[in-house]
Amino acid sequence: MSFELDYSVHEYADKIRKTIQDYYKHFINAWNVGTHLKVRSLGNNFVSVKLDTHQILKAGDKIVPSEHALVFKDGSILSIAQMIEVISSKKCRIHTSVITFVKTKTNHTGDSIVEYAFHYDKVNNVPNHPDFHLQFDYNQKINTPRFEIHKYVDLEEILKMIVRDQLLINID
Amino acid sequence: MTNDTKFTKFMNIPNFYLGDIEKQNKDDNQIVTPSLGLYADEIRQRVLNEFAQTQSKLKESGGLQSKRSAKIPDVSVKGHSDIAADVLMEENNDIPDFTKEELMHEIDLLKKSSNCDSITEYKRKIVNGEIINFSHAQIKIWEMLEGKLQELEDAE
Repeated sequence: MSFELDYSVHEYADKIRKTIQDYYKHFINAWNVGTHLKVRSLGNNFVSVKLDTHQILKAGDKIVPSEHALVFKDGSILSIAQMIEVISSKKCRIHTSVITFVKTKTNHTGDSIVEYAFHYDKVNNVPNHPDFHLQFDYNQKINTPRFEIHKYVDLEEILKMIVRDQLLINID
Repeated sequence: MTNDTKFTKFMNIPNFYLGDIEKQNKDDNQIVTPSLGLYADEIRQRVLNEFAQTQSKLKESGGLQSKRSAKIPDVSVKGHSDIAADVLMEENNDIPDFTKEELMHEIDLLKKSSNCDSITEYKRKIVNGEIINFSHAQIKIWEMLEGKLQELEDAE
């Protein structure tokens, strides 16, 4: 499914920065996005836009929140990894995207561990898989966020949902 | 307006600049009009100097990674208007390439965090049901990073 944006890649990256800064009160380090959002060319008109490192985190993993680029006030983290296809100087397309929210909690030894995580995918032409997809590595006590899965949901909508569904409030 | 004039205006070259070249040529009893060869050399040097100064400022401010840093302009064999066009292109198309080190770092983190030695092993574990929760987009991005790393290694 084609999904085009009327932005240059730089404008798109600036939009991500602005979106995160609009939610600055929920983060301890929203200012980090200015320097930690990396834009790199892969050649063949593909550009990587990335906030935080490419890591695969799952429930139970130990993490150090301070090592991550974007940390919510409750210690949870948000990461973005996208491949952008440049169409023209003022048009680009989100080819592949994974935006991950990692909810953390402190265990009995004082370490931060992943309580649950969800990622929101955008992929193309994967057999038996929707192009847009939300998946939880799940804690059954968390209500499933009310979330569109038949259309592209951008970062702002994801942040809105995280706040709206009170994912930043510890329930234990 | 000639290409030279356009470029001079674009580069904001002071008026005395061409005069100095003319004076030097007169002193040397050479051609009175500016020597294009000398002029082009001066322009090349100026473009490279300005590039070096910009890079230096970005490094000092710690913003080299995130700012719109550019590749070194190719000013080796081109005329003035070509150089100006290149500089304008750099302003619009200045996304730095992934370095081999950055790619290796990212791929290494993916391997460590997934407890797999390669993306092939990761996909095998998914097929075998050992990994249930995974991101198709993450796999695609991992493959693209691996592809770019392979491309860089092949080019060496």
